Amino acid sequence: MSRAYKEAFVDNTIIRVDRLRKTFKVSKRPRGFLGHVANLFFPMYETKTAVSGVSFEIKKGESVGLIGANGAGKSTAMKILSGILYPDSGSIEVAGFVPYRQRREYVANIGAVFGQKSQLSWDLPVIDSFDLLKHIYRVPDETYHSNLACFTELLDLSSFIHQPVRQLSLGQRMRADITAALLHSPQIVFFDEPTIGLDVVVKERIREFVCRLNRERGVTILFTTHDMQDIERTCKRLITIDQGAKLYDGTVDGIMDKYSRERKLVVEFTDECPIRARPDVTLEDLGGCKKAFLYDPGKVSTKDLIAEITAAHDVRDITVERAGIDSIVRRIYEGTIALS
Amino acid sequence: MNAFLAHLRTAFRSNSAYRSDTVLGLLSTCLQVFISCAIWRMLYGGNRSIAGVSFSMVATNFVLAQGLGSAFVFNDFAVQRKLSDGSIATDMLRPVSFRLSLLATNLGNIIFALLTRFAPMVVIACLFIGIVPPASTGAILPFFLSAVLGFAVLWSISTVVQMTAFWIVNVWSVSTIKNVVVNVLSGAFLPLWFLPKGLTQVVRYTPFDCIYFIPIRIYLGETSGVELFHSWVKQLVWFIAIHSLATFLWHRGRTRVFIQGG
Repeated sequence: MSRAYKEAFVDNTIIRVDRLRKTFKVSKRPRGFLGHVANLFFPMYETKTAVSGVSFEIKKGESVGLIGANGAGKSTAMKILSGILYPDSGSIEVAGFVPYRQRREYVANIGAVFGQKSQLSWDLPVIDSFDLLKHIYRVPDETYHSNLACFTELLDLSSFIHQPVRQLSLGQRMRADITAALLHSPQIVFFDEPTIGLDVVVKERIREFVCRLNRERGVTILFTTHDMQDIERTCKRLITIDQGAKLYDGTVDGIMDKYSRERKLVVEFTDECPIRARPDVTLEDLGGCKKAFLYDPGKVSTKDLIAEITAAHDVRDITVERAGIDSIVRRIYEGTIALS
Repeated sequence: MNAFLAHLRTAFRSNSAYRSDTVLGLLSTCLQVFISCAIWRMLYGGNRSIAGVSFSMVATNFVLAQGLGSAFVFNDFAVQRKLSDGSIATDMLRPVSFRLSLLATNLGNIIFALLTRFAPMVVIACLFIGIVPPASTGAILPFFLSAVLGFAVLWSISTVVQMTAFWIVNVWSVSTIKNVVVNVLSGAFLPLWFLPKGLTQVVRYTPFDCIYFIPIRIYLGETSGVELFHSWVKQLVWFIAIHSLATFLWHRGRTRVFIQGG
């Protein structure tokens, strides 16, 4: 047993990522026919940084959401964490293993679901792929059957488990893929956009399942998604990354408390009219005669603001909204919320 | 059952998913052998033997070389495909050797092809073309051992081609060059008895005659005694050498794994 493993065991830290970097070489082609020909003889490359010095630690049993805009480096980070890609520099340690260096020993301990990739055999019934995985991971009969029975019930697989994978719908395939990743009872599971392209009912089922996995089996979960409801429902902690670097790392409740105090007053005017800016209120044009007023109810009273607007203009409709995690995250990406 | 056999079985089952493909595969193998034999029958023009090689020896060469060739199909594009559609990600998630799982999948395909193409084709060829029986019952076992070694050599050559995908991304040209060289120099297209003397000398120092020609000569009883032993050693040495190269390329390539498509 390595020293690192013991340390990890003592302070319960199961994932440790330190200044992780990964770059890709991207071929850069000049435009036009001549450019393509020139490229054959003098290829030019550009280095793109996918992950630039991200550090974080995750404790055993945590459920952490990793979010970021497309191309922010989430998937690359997930693939380094699951032992697929080599990082350029920085250190990474999961459950006492260095994933990329000890791949074979390491991956027996983790499960990973990539929403865009399937690990099932395309031409065979779902159950045949499960059977292959049973042999690959040397899952004891008893564990295999109890896991399979449990997941079949929770994810409602029974209606299609004997169908070839190529004939499944996306939602069915995803549920089968999630089961496939968990048959060997891994203690750490990486979900990379598992809800992509799914309908609300399937999404909800998957969220519920992930919650129970974390709560009842104590499985450590790292989850990436673009659907903020996934995060609100399944994760307690949130890490946002942008352009390969970490922006925010804290509790989901924390970020909600801090930023969702803000209220959004949506006003539909009877005709287009110039609105004067007011201190402490941010104005947003929603098109047509609709405008949104963003303000902190601690500084501006909702009652006064409405009174002021209705006194000066003809108003058709007024609603007050509380900012959801969606809009908070959008503003983190846009850089309009400064994170300390 | 261990993981290797489980992979093999999965590949075998995947093959049997398409029935018409199986039937057409047998048809194309038979056509290939019959056409080659028809051309050579014409070239022989009624002569029983040319330069000490009888027509039935040539026919036997084709039935065995092309029959085995239709079964010993390695997918040179396996690694390239896994890289380009990103499915290498799911392979790397499994706690098994990547190359052994590729081999197991290949063996599953090959066993399927041996049963559905090679075996029925040999039966059909015996009925309609007439091939030479093995030189002696004692030649059968050495032939099988040599055929397995030939298979190993071909596998290692294909692995080298597959691994180049980490650097050149599209292995089509490398694979095509390999196929031409293998087909010509292994005895699959032209029985090596008929190669120019000079070229035969060159081929003796390449791994290519290890693939089909050495096993076929054993089958026909042209190799025996010490020479038989030398043949096996030669096949084994080539396998170890090429396999080492493939291993080296794999370890270098592993650090270059890239995942396309999200």
